[in-house]
Amino acid sequence: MLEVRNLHARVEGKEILRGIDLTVAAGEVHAIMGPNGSGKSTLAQVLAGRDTYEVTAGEVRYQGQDLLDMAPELRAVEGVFLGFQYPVEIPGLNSLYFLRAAVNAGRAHRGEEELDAMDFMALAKERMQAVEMGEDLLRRPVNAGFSGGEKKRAEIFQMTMLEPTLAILDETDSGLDIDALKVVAQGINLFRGPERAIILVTHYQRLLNYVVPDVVHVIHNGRLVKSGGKELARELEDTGYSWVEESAGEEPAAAADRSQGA
Amino acid sequence: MSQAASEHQGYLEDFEKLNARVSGNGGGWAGELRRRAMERFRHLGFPSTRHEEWKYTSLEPLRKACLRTPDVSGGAVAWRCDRFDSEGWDRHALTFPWDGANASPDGDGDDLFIGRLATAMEGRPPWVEAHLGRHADYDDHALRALNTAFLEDGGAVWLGPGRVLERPVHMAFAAVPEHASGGIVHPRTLVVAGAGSRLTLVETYSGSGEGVYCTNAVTEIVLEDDAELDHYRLVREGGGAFHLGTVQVHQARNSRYRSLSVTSGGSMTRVEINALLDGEGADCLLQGLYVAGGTQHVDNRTAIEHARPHATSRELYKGVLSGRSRAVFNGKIVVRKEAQKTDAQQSNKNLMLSRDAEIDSKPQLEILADDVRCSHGTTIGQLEEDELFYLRSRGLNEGLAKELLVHGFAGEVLDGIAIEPLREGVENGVLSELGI
Repeated sequence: MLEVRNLHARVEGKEILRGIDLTVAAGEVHAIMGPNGSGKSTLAQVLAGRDTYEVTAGEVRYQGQDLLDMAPELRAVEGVFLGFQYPVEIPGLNSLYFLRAAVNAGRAHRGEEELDAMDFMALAKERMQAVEMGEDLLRRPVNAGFSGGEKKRAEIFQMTMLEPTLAILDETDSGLDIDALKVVAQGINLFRGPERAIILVTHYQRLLNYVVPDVVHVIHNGRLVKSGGKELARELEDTGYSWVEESAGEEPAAAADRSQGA
Repeated sequence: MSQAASEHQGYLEDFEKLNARVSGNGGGWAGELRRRAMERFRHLGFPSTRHEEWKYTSLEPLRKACLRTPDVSGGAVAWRCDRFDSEGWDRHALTFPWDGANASPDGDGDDLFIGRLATAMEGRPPWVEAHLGRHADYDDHALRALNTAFLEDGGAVWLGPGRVLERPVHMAFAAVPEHASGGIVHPRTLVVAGAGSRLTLVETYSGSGEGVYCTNAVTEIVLEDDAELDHYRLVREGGGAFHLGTVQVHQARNSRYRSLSVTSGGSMTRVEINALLDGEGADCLLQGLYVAGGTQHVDNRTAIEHARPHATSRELYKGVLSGRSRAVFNGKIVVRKEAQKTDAQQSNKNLMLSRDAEIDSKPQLEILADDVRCSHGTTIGQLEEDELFYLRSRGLNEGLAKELLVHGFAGEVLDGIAIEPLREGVENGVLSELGI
């Protein structure tokens, strides 16, 4: 489904991704783990089409198409979803209105009829229950004044409404207490399926107790330095990321970059 | 003959025709009021941009256009074509020019008058003479002077003490393209709300087509003790039009005035809203949205004068500008020496959709009392990249994403319109001026 080859990207002249190679097949859940500044959020944003990052080399194919050549909205209606680490608050824009527009953009792209307000509401109510999200949140402006946990639930809820093929969830677990984490994990598990793939970007192993990945990658200094099964996550939890940094055998320039908070 | 005098010739001729037409209407005092106002206008002439209050807004194009007032009954408020979709809500409707059909919409009694100003002036009830022309000072304001000189008709509302109007009063002033070219009209409105009375007033000014015309409107509002008024003043004139307007509000003790002013359309629009908080505990809320695209010019001036202690004022004006449009916001707050415990807040926020648009925002605080809370703030920004990307990442194309964000920005003001069909009509109509 997704083929990332030798992906390089930079922001403001600084190289953040330094040759990512990643293959994700339908039905798989991949976890990408790494310390702060390793490039994991950048990877998520580049895949979703954020233009503040400049792709300097490499290619990404999504269902056979050149993903990097597609506008963010086209990626979205073609089935790519990014769950934001920091969901954006938009005061003044009603959540319900926004989400119906988003769902209908996807439907129009697929040549399906648009959902009217009533059908949309019925579907939304059903999907909200799965993430135990209060209906009142839908009546409020997008993410405005939501707590950290509410924002993350709302992201998962949006995902279940948009029914993407490839979901990239960027630190969806951060800032959640254990109950909220379980709810979010349940939402993700319900969403899993043979036609879909999920990339979980995370700093901690915690979420992976509830959403068990097929493959775990360790990202460091803009490269995937190690891949393995779910037990790799446990290993990282026990030993931290320091061994990765040592075994990665980085060159001095890279170390200097990191110390500047790359 | 000086240049100014020759430019005034058309106005003078039209003034004489008006006087012949309305002689007797309102008795000697109205004629006297018009004559004094015309004298003032002749003396003042149109202000130039050297005048501090007209620094950013030039009346040169209006002066040169030498617009004339139609010599027909009600000519000073002539023509109609409502660009605001006014369907779907229950109201007392007053449409100008007067169509005669809805002579006095269930509003003429011992404690109530809703109708034409011309009718009210004929009857000469005490509230007309006590207030008409007494609040909107024209001594130093050429356009208010001109409006007062051409005072002929418009809307009038009087509510006796304690009278509560459930249905809003809608005064629709509108221009038809085939008549509107080359004319200037001077609608005049008077609202007197007795002690403890309550109403909602909707004024709409609209036109279509590209013809050059001018609406020069003045509204006087008097709120006696404990009276409450929700006032929506909505402007969307035709493409070539000038709109000049003044709202002058006099607030007595514990009265509440809530204004929501939308300015859009036209080639040049300037609206001045002035509130005198002349009673303890008075409460004033001014909200505004201005929208301009292309080469439109929109100028909003507000002045809130705290004359008595313990009064509160809140103000939020927001602007959305695209193309090469230009906007001016001038928000003045005066706190007189005796107005202790004043609480006043003002905020002006601007969203610039183009590099070539321009805003001049000027808060103006004159505080003479020493125990007050006053604050003001201005922001000027663009659409947030983070917000745009968030919406696009959900499948909305760039145009739609921008549109939703602009609607969201404007919503903070427009959501204050409690009449839902009106709010929707305003939102869709007004924001289409941006061409996004």
